Amino acid sequence: MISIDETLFRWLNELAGRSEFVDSTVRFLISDYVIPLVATLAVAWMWLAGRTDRETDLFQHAVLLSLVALGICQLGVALLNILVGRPRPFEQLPEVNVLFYEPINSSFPAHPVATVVGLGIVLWVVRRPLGAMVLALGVVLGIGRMIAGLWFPTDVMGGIVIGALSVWAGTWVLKRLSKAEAFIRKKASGMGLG
Amino acid sequence: MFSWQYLLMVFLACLGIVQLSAARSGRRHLWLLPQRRPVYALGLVLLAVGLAFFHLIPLATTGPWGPTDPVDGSATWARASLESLPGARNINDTDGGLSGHWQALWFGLGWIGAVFFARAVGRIHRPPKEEAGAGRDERLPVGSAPGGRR
Repeated sequence: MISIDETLFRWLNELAGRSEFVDSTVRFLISDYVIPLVATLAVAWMWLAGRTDRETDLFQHAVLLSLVALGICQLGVALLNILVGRPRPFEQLPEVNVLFYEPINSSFPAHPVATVVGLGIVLWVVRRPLGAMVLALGVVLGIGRMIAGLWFPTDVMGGIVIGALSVWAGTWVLKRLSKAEAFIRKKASGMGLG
Repeated sequence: MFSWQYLLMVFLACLGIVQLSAARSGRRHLWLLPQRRPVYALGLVLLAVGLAFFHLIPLATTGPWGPTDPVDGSATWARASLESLPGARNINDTDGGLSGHWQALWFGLGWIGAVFFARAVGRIHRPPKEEAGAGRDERLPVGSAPGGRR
């Protein structure tokens, strides 16, 4: 497993440093301020986008589920960072091409991938095209950061699993917080924002 | 400085998103313009301007996006060049970038600010009395709303 992980990582990381165009594109796409922001904006869009009462119910429930899932995701990633504490590829392997700043936290799991995938799954359930776009961006982020020398493939897979589990756990939690959900939506509606 | 630029970006981008979503749903009290199509267009422009501002401003202002210091590897304070622009914002939070927690906080503030700004401006061309009885302008069965699809 380790050798497959390392082989796949090497194969992707060797794409870095060959062409200035590829390096620049990867640097831009893996930024903290591009794909995670687009995913968050896509979720934010849903709060006010419902055309009918039924669609508004569906969309706003999805936004609240995203928030709960995000909270669970951050907690899960923080716990795994402490428990696993895996060094980054550039810290444990020789001759790694690095196209990004060198983060000091654990490589496992891929935190932004977990976040984007979690949001993408929620969006996929209520609005397929938007969800598919965000999930595709999550994959781009994962591959891009492997090319940039920041993650192993198993870190990205771990991020995807954490993102999916966060949505599953978030659904369970939100079911038990139905009164709080109703309260938030009633308040928002009362302010003309529901 | 990085925080203010991020906050301005998310405010503009969120204002664009509010316009796009309000135009789709017909929530006229959040429209910055009186007609639906211009609201859509304005939403797209605000979104693009917000993102472009944040990612292009390193060309015009000095910040922690200069060449890496050869001695300690830290970012130096300078203007970005066209070549370094794609990675100019890739700065660790320990070197002047934003941590995820701060990003979440600024995003929340930007979103709230954008919604209340849209609501305040929406009142100018839609008085509160008229607004009180209005939510969405069309309450149509699911899937039958004009100009869109589910």
